[in-house]
Amino acid sequence: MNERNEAEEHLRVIRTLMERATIYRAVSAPTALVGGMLAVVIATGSLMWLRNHPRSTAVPHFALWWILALCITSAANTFYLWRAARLRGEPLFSSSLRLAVRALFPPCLTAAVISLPSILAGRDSHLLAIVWSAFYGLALLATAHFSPRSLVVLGWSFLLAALFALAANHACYPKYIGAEWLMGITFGLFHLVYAVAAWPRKTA
Amino acid sequence: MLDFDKLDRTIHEKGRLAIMTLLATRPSWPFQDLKAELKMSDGNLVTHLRTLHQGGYVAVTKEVLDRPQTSYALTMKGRNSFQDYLRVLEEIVKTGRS
Repeated sequence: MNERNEAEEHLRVIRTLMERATIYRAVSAPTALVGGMLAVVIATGSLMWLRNHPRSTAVPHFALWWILALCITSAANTFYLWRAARLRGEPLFSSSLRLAVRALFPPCLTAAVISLPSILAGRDSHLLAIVWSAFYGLALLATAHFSPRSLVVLGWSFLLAALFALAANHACYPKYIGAEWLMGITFGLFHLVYAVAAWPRKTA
Repeated sequence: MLDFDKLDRTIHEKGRLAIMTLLATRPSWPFQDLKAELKMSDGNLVTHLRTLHQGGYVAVTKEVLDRPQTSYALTMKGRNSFQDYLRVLEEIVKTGRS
């Protein structure tokens, strides 16, 4: 191996190590697919229920349905992260995952605390949809310094959609952009688009 | 004419280069995380870290949180040396292409 080849090999090793240490995808593509499909199903079911009950303004147990979706998707994410870590020969709770959890925790905690009164009272589905979309977007953006670009774009998409819905609801009061629509578009459609964009491809 | 003689020999060793690379990515790394990331044995990692510490490239912090933990970080000299090392490597590659 001549000097140039050896230098290139060293630079390649350095780059690989740096990427492995600094880039971490906290939401895997398969998780986004599971979450996105689940969200589309729940949102579609909710919209059909509302169509059949024109006097109702909200789906019963709105928050519970979405918390159930969150639990299933979180379990799927844990499984996929564990599987990916095992393939790399790393523990699940690697330093990168701990870094991601530390970044995700404050926005998620804030969203939970703001949502709790509405969840317990079983109302304000519009507020819940906006808070969940906005803070999920902020949580993803909090991982921006070590996330791949697609995850940052996803974070911005959630945040901007939530802010748009908030502004539109103020402008159109008392007619709201439906919580089911917002949840379906953000947690459903956005996740599906992200899953397609970030799906691991085999290199030739 | 550029050659490998201009490269910092302390950093150029494969194991130490990997350690320096990881240390360059974050403010500090606990020993256990370095070990897990690099898949090195305790003895091997300690030997390389000691060499880098003695050369003034790496600072060591020992603290007791819920259990004793030793963390490592690049010193200013270490960071500058790593950047110089990268620059020389890049120049070798560029020179080879021209």
